Amino acid sequence: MGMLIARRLAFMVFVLWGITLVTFFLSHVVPGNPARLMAGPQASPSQVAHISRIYGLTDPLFVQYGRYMRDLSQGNLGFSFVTRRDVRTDIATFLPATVELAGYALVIGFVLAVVTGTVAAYRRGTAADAAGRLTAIAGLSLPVFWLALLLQLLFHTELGWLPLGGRLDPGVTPPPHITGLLTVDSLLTGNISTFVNAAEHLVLPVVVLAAGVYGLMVRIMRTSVLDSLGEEYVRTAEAKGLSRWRVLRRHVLRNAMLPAVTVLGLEFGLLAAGVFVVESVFQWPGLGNYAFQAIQANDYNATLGATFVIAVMYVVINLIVDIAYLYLDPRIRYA
Amino acid sequence: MASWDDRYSRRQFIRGAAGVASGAAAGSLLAACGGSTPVSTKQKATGPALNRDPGTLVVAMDAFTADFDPASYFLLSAIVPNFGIYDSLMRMKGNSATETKPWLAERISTNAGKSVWTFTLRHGVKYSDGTPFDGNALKAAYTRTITAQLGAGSTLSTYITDPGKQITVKDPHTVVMDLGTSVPRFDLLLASQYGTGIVNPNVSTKSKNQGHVYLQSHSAGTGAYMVQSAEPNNQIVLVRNPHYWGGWNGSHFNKIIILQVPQNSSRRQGMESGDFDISFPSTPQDTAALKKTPGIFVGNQKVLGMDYVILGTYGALASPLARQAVNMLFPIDQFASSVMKGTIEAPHSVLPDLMLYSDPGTYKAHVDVAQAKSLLRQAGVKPGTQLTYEFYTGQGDSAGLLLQSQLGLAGLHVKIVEKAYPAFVADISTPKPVSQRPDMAYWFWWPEFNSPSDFCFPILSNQATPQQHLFNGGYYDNAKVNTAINKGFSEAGDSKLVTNLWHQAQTVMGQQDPPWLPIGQIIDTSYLRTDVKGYVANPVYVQSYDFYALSRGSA
Repeated sequence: MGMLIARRLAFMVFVLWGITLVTFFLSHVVPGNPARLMAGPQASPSQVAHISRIYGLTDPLFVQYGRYMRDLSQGNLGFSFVTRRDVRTDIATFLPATVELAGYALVIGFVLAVVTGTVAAYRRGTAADAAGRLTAIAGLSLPVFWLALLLQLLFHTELGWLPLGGRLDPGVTPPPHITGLLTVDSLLTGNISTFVNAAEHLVLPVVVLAAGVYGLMVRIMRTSVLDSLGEEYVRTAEAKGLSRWRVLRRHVLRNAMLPAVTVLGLEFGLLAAGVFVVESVFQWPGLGNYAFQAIQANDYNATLGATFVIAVMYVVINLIVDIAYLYLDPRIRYA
Repeated sequence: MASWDDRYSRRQFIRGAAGVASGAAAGSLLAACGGSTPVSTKQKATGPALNRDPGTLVVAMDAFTADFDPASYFLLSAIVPNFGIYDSLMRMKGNSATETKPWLAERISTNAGKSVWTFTLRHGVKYSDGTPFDGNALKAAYTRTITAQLGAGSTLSTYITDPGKQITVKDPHTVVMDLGTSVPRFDLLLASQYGTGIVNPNVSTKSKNQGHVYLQSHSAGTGAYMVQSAEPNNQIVLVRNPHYWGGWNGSHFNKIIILQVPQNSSRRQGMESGDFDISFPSTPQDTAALKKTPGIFVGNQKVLGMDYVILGTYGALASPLARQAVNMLFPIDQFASSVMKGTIEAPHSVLPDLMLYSDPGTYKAHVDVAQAKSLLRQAGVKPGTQLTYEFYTGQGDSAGLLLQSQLGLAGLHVKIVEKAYPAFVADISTPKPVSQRPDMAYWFWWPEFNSPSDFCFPILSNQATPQQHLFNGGYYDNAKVNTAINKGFSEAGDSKLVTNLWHQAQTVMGQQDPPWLPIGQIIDTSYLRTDVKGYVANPVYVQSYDFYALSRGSA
């Protein structure tokens, strides 16, 4: 186990270096001068040049990359031209919002999918199976942007049940920062009204994000459970007189979960892409929104910083998935 | 031509499609999809309810920049919050584009030559930290803005390049500015929102770059409000400045919350549901719908800005005749009324109507396909010639489609190219070979203050082409226009001369040697709840709100 983690961590360094290399040069070859955007259209050429010099934008590209990598090794992600703050500060501000949103979406989507997929497999050919498959197709096929607007129209504008966007209502004071997750922090500080407010704001964006996770996972779980149900070890367990619940838990689900867990790691990538859209539509002040604004404004450092952090999360989650594999299937040993 | 009104707008399409897909579960939604201007069932009769603190004003912008440094903030996204934070010596009066009123300057006088201006400063003014404002503070603040080289110094440095010598503090409440040239309307410059905010000079000690870093998250003005918190991409919260010289006896908001709401649909929904008090405009279709929504006021103030299509003076459009032809093919009136739903007004000159020296009548929009074909023939532009039209995401797509269709009537092909904003800005403001420049590009502009020279210099002067990294993206170069721009700055005192020069320049640009296709004068169509009182739109202060003047009344 220790060797596995060490090897994966070493591999991770190369992956992340590659990502910085590609992202850095891609973002810098796109036309556009951040100093001009920062100075404003009326600024004189000398003012634009002055701002370019302040931020080292006049240096050759490889010099800028070398400086970026040196700073990165010291934990310095540079300065954002859009927010006018250190990117590290920005990420510390925006990451918890995304973690909270994506975390709930992943957990809720996954748990619902496991339940629905299992029920659909157990009741194959029934109305429950059809409903499970139908909702899965809907979750997979509805465009995130469209679904988000639809839910806003219905649940906010028409019914008035849920807020339009943001993490809290305007004017509601956030709980003291402990984890940055508003639902957790408000509970930890005993602020129930803020918890309710934060939870209400989470509902729509979480539903939209979770829909994609749910759709894919239901189909995988249904197929996997059906496969497991046909296996001899399941028949043997049933023949031994084990209860149906015990068969399901110990023999069916444990084996059926393997493909789902594999996909879960990859699903994070899709989720990260969905976050860009969902955060934009729901004015969610998270990393996706931050990266979106940064890309639009050619904000190199912010784009690089956000990409780097998302890449780290992706690699780490897939490492966790690999470790989970060992638990779920003790037969697996990594060479 | 098919009526644009008959087309399904994108928003209506989304609503319609949503209704079909969501079936019975979205019954109430379907009900709202029926009309051409859907209105929420909740506010059909009474307008949106206010289910939040009435003492807080909520403003939704498409984007804001959390920059509270008058030496650097220069974009509309930063102007809006700072209008409530920083005072200037003068302010524009009511909805006038030409009248100013004293603000931090209590009295203002000038010599006979209009080159030396004396300001008597208001007594009892304090910055938000309690530091008194006086002549030395004013000089230090202006010097910082001019010398910091952070982007916003260009307004003051139009006439003050050496603040140490040109600004003299006679006594704590009397300041003299020697401009070295006659500037009869220096008051208009001082009333600008761009680069004239007076910051507390003490900020220079707060952080590097003369306090610039500090001012990215803090404010230091004498204005009515100050920053309580600023979270980029999320919200800025302003609270009352306890030291505000105007006092807090009247009816004013306690808190201003400025939200970043990038989606057009979300801003409209927020207005319809009562979540926002004020919102930046959304699409023309949304604006038309909100005009009919009870409880919502849609602004209609024509401002000093212009939407236009840059016509390159190179390649196929090198000849002025070819550019005249393009102007003759675009149905400006129909575009303004049908496509833009009245959110712009057809131009009458290359200068906006309300700009000083504007000469309405020097540009007459009319469609004449036969005449346009004849002009193209004379210009040597053959049928089948391909032109490129460039725009950036979110702006100028519909004008491009109409241009493509209309130029097709004269046998020209238009290739439409969409770019991201930074790439687009680079295309029109950095030097490129002719083969890589767009023939036409959508752009818009408004001046820092009411001055045709200030308006025209960065976009029409031969000293402002992409070679100089400015925004004359068509490489326009006309001697009469250059003269009007330059004399407008240096000979501003000779009113007769300047009037004559601008008449000539407008005639040239409107009829003989067009630099653009002027599409429309910008109208400030901000959305406001009708219970927000005290709003006066000013043509110079585009989409800006005097928070102190606003209060909550009855709808």
